[in-house]
Amino acid sequence: MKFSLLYKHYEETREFSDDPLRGAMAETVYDLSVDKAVRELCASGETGAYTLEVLKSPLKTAEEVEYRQAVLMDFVSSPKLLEELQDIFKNYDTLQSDWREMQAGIYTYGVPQTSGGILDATYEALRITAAFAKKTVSYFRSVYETVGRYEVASEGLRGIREYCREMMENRSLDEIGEISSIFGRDTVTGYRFKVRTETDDTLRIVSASLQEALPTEDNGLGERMKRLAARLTKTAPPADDTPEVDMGEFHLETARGILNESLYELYTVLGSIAGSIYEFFRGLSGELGFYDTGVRYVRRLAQSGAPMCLPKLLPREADVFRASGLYDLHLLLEGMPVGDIIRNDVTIEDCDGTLIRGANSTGKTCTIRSIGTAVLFAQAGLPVCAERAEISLRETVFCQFSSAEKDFDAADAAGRFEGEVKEVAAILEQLRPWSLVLFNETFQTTSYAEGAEGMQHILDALGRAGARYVFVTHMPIFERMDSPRVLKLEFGRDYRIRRL
Amino acid sequence: MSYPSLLFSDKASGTRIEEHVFEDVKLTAFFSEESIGAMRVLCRPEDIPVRQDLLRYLDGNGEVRGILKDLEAVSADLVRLHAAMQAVKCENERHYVFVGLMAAVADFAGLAASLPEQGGPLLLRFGSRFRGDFADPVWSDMAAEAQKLRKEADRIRRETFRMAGDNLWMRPDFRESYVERLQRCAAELGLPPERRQRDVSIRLDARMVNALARLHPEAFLAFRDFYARNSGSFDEGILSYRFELGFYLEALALMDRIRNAGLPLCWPAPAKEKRIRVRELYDISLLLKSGVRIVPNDAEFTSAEPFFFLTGANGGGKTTYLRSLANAALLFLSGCPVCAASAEIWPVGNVFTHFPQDERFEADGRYADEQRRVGEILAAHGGNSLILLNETYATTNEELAVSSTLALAEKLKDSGSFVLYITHQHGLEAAGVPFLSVIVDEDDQNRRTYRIERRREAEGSYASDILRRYGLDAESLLSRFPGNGGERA
Repeated sequence: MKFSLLYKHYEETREFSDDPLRGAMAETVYDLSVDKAVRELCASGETGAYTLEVLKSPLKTAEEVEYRQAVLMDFVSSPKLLEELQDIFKNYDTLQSDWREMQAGIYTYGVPQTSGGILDATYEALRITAAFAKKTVSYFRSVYETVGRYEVASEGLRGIREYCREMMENRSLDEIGEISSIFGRDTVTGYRFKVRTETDDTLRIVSASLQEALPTEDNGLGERMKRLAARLTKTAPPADDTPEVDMGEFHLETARGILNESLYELYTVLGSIAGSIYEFFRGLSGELGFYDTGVRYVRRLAQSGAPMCLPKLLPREADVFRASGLYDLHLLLEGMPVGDIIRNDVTIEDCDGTLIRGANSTGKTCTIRSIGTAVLFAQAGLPVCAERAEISLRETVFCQFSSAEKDFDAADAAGRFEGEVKEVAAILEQLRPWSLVLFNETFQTTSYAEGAEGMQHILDALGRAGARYVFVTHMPIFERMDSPRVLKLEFGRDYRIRRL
Repeated sequence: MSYPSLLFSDKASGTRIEEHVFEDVKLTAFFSEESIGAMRVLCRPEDIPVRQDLLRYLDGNGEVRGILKDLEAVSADLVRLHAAMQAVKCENERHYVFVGLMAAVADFAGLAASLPEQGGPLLLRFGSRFRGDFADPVWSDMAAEAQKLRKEADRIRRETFRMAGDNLWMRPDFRESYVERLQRCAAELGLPPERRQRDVSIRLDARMVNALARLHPEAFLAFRDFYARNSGSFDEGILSYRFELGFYLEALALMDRIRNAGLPLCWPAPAKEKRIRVRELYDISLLLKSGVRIVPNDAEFTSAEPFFFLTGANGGGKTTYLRSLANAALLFLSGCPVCAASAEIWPVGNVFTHFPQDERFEADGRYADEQRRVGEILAAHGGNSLILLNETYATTNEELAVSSTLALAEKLKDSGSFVLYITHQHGLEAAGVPFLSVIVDEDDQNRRTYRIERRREAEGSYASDILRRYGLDAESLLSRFPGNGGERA
């Protein structure tokens, strides 16, 4: 169970899962230089790494994207709220690690060997765990009060406020807090206990459960008198009228063993439950880091006077990419004045794929990068670098950019070509319908005729597989691809796109 | 009256297979240590079809199989309670545990007596033995009393200890524990069940058991009286059913698993003359890996050709083939079905394996260790065994390896035992032993086929262009992405 500001329908398996596509998405982020952009925008390396992980997991529904867009807009309007929540959840993040560290600290001087030492260590683990449980429970109030001080419109932030209110009023959560509060004394000698045991059919105790732990009164005269009487008579007054057999004090080792097991059981169960409650908000610190990056990104574009928009996400079957005034974020972050950055209107619809050609340095790579970045950002719930955009959801975005630096031996063209072939084969291996595949000058490491022929078969296959592609190339492939379902674009010397 | 075996009509053959053989061929992944213990003791050849009949009967009769499962569970209790009886520290404890032990004997007997009078001689004899018990009124009364007293014993298994300082009291006082309260709260909050707790095992000392007796005097007097009257009734022979039943149940579970994987099983016929002939043999251990394509092979060993060298590329399936053959023999000798389409197997007197075992050699070095183990096999095989050698002498220099192999082959080839010897050594033709080889597909980038055949000359090289190699040629792409998949807009 977990509350998420990134996902409306959170699934544990979704977030940064072992999806094999994540490897491909890492390539995509690298090829599109999104990693550089994120590093430039982020407050810390940790936040940057988290943001990249989010970008590598594109959202699959417009509903999820809108959920995230709304939360981002709340934080853009109330940056102080973001700051306060970041402070709260930064502390929250350390709760569990502190708890674990303190538990490990119990055994700093080795594992105890005596029954008394073992009992003391188990009690200490319970005491630390009880404190962790109490603190965890208290966070619902802090979050509720913080969010309550701001006007928020998003479903995510309103939801977290309402959720915290319900939890604060929950009787069961209260009871967990009450039980945790019992175990605040420094040592196990501060209590009298009742432990219920169950034996098996060979009279071995197989379970020991703590029924009662009553703090002893350290300073009361009456208690001192009772203890004195107990010492003199080697007994103690019975707690009630239940018949019992006085076993004296000859069973110290066994009694400690039984008590230890009952405390251990309580410690593990309380630890597990506290851990589950902690899960409600686990990871929110990272999620807020993503929004922090988003707010910084929006601020940076606004300060530069560059246009941006929250794109309208369309179902994948609508199968369009329409962006007015699309530009390359990378150029902006490199310091190019906004006025010098060429903006293009790009419309890709009713086709299986797009071929782009043009002379060197006319904007082909910037455009394919802008398209890819726009899709990634849109499906991450971020604004895109355009005046207006309508984008169909894509299953994933694959890239094969031969111009990106790779570990090929430049002198070994055959090796480099094989490297590219391997990358394309890996993409096809993982291909899913409605994926977007971006090729930048692929197969130009072999003769253009051979490369073009090879690419033609691959692009045809992509179309048959229901994927979409954009291919930037110098190779003579325009003539080969004469299907009406192939869009052909050409860049002129004026950096403008023309449809052929 | 003693307890009749479920494994042997009369007695065992007297031969034991070495434990490491089962480890080498990975049968330990499918059978427990106890069952391997049962399989190591070879039965007489005439008992193989008797066991096969029993397994076949159990395989087709879910109800009886269910009874055997219950019997196995009770037999595990018997073993545990018997061990507890050996370790008691006071008379009250002895009387308490004895009640449980005898109640378990009664449970076991009741289940055994409920078996239908079918299933072949071993099962018939077993059920009949326990039906005889119930015909004896003294025994029946004892069993009924044990089961009644067990209910009383169960009632007093829950107590509460009150602890104040170093003092301890025992009392019947049952309230909701903190853990139960927490679990209730967690359930109300919709939290997942907490992680599994550790097993607790604290033995009550004699004083504590006596305190328990003081808290429940009437019950313990009844236990004492029962023990006084029946302490001579327990026969330890009943404990051996634990592994005998385990063997049959694990064999049946394995058969289910194989069938669920869609693989064939066959009941091998004992060969009338000395030979091993198996069709479409496959390695059971491949079941442990998911997504593995299982390639069956044939095996044929005869008196005229009892010995083969097996050579070929690494990763081509040599060890898999060897394991398949060993598993077939071991399963057959245990009375189980084998992993093949059909099989006819001579009931060899023993099975030996010689696998690389880095950890086994000591100060004398690896070669000396290999020689020692080879020596043990030569001394023990008796001319009627299956001997499986996996890259023996691979760790020494080639000259010594070849000469050692030739010497070994000379000793084994006419010995009467069946031998399969995997090796990479060259120059073994002088041994006069035929070769098997793994087949690679030269027309398909030397792809491993995992097929084993008599050796032919087979050398080749990879020759295809890069796109084709990676499946990116037009034909491959068309075949993988034929189109019209419904997703196209």
